[in-house]
Amino acid sequence: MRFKRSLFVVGAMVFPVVIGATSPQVVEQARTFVVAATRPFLEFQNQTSHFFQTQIQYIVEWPKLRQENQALDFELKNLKAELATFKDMKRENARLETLLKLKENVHQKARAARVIGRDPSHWSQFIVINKGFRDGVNKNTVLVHPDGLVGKVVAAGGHSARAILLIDDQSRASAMNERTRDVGLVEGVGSFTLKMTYLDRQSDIQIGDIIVSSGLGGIYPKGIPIGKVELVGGEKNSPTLYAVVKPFAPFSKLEEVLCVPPQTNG
Amino acid sequence: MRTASDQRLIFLLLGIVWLELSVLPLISINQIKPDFLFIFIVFYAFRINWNRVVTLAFFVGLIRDLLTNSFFGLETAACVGGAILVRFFAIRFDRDKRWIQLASLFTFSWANLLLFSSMDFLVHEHHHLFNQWTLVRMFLISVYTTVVGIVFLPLLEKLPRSIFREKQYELF
Repeated sequence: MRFKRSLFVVGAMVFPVVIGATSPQVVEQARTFVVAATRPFLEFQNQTSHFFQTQIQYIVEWPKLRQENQALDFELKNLKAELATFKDMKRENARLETLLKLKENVHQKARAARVIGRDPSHWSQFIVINKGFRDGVNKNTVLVHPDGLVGKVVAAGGHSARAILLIDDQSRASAMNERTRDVGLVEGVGSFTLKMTYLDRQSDIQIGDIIVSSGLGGIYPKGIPIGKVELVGGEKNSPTLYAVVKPFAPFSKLEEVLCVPPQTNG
Repeated sequence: MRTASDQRLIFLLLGIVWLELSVLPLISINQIKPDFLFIFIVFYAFRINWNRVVTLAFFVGLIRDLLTNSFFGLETAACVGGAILVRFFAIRFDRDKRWIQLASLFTFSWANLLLFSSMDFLVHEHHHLFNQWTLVRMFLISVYTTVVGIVFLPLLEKLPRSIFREKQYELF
C-alpha cells in the first residue's frame, strides 16, 4: 500500500514532465484547445469587468464633466486648426518617404486585438488575445502597443491566441540604440525591466537612450520603441556591456494591442 | 455519495480557476499576486480530506500547466510536491487551529514556488529565477497568499463545507 502510494506520487510528479519533454507539440495543441475553449468565458468576463469599470468611472467623473466639456470644446477648435497643419505635414512626409525609399516599419495588415486573459502562473508572462488565425493572427505575429513593443504570438487558435510578453524570461528581441545605432539583444528577466546584452564595450550607450527593435531577428519589425536605458554596466573581464532598460509598454495594464505580421512574412 | 461530492468539487475547482483568471490581475501588485488554488488545496487538506490532497494537487497542477506558458509538467510536479508537505502537516497537527492552517498555507506556497524554480532551473538554459528579486518575490507571494487566506479560508469553510460533509476522524 505504502509502495503503491509512493509510486503514484512519483508518477504524478514525473509523468507530466515527461510528456512536456517528449511531446511539446501535443502540449501546444492542448494549450491552444484550452484557450479556445475558455475564450467565450474570458471574453464575457472581460467585457463585464470593462463595463463596470466604465460605469464606475462615469459616476466618479460626473461632477467634473461640465467643466471638462467646456475646456474640451475650446481644445477641439484649436486641434482642428492644428489638424489642418498636420495634414499638410503628413502629405509632405509621405512625399519625402517615397523619395528616400524608406521601408515602412509597421506592416499595413495590422489589426487591433483585445487582451482577454492573463497568465495565472507566478513566473511566466503571457496574455490571451481575442484574435486568432481566422482573423489573420498567426504564430510570431508581433504585438505592439501605442507606447512600445509588447511581444509575439506563440500559438494561435481560431479566434484566440497566446502571446509571450517581452518581459518574460524566455523572451528575446534584437534591438538597437536609437541614438548610436549600437545593436544588442533585449531579453526579459522576469521583472518589469529588460536587460540589453551583447553591447559592444566601445559603444557610447548612456542612461536615457531610447532602445528600438533592430529588425535583425527576422520577426520584430525595425524601429518599434522598446524602452529607455536606466543603467549601464559590464563585467570586468567581459568584452561586452549590458544595460537595464525600462520598457515603454504598460505590461501590467494592457487592454488592447495591435497585431502586426512578422517581418519574415512582410 | 462520493460521485456527487466529486462533481461538486469539480464545479468548485472550476469556479476558483475562474476567480484566479479574472480577479488576480486586478489585485496583483508589481507582479506579486496571491494564489487562490494554493488556498483551496490547503483548505481541502485541512477541512475536507487530507488523504486525497495529493490527487487534488495533481489535477490543480495539470490545470495550471494547461493555462500557463511554462514548461509543461513543472506546475504539476511542484503542486504534488507541495501537497505532500501539506498532507504531512494535516496528519501531524491540529487541523482546526487557524494559525496552523495559515502556517501550512505559507509553507505550501513557498515550497511550491521554490520547487517550481528549482525544476525550471534544470530545464531552461536562460535562467533568472535564482536571483535576489526572485527569492524576495517567492517570499512576498507566500505572504500575500497567506494574508488573502486569512479572509478566504473562513469563507471557504462557510460555503462548501456544507456541500462536502466528509468526515475526517481517526481513531487514536
